[in-house]
Amino acid sequence: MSHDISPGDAEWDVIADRLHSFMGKMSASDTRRLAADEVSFRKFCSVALQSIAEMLGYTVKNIDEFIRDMRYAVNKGWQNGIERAKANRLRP
Amino acid sequence: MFDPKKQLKKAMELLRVGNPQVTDEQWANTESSLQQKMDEAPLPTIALIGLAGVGKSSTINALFNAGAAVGHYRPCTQFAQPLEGDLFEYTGRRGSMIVYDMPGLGENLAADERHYDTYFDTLPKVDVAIWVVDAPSRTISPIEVALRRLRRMGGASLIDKIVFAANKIDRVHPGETAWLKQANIPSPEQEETIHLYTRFLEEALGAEVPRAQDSVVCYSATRRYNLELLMEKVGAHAPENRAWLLGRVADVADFTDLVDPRLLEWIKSNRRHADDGRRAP
Repeated sequence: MSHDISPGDAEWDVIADRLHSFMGKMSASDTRRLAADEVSFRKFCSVALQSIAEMLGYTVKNIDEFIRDMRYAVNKGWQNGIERAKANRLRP
Repeated sequence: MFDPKKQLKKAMELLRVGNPQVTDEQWANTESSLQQKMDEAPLPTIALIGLAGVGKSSTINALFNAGAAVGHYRPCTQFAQPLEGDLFEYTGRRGSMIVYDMPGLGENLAADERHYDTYFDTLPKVDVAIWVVDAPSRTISPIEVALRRLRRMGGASLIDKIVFAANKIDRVHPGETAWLKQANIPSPEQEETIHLYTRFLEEALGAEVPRAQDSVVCYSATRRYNLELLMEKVGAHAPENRAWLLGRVADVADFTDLVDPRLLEWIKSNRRHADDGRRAP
């Protein structure tokens, strides 16, 4: 396409659809990265928490679950992660 | 945009659910201590590898300064200088990081030998490395030799830090004039070439790179094309507990800034929410 096209042109819809599709891919990529950053941040927190809790004199339970719940939340949505954490807490 | 403060709140919320035995005072102290550890976390570090002119500076500006070439560079003295290349602190709009700018391979054998030493010395110190190549180039053998040596000397973990980024993808066959400037995407012919070139890189590097399919990205820094995918892969190759530090300073240039606004408006009116995974322009 060496010339500019306008909404009335036959190519317009085709190009718009390709652009839309690519925008979707970039958006999905951005979402995945933010989710991965969130998991990474919780990894960092979990390591830091171990030493903080020791210093403050208490034990943090479910650190492993904290990470697992976050992975779950990344895939299933934040509220589902909270629900899962609550369910885990009640688990015998 | 990754927001550590917001994430800290969410993390604390979840931890409170799982730890009713901890008092409010202890949580308050915990949160402030965590905040302090976040503030004190070492800056993210990136190695950029590539020949002069391949687009290393424009890539870093595209990923961490919204594409504006006004990122602040200053010499960095807190780390040992690489054997060759430059070390500087880069400050984009959302924060700073340490960048090792290292030479690429293929100029001559003697220079390549020196560069191998530089890579081996520097890669263990960085969170992630971006090896920038010119997209049309098929001169991959010097990279394969370097990777073989690095793996032999430092193990697969060194190789696993590297993202192979093929820049200037807008110039591939049948040429830059084929790029659909109005939509800022490749023409169908170029898309086919990009697909084939990606496969070529994955296969060429596959013998030395453990997860080549996750390590190769074709993009254009100047067109801002495919930068989100490049940034995703950069994060994915960083250590798991430090990727968020890169996310904190990431400021990826928006490729739609270079798209004809009429196309964006048309999509907004005609294709909006056609698919939940797609963002409305």
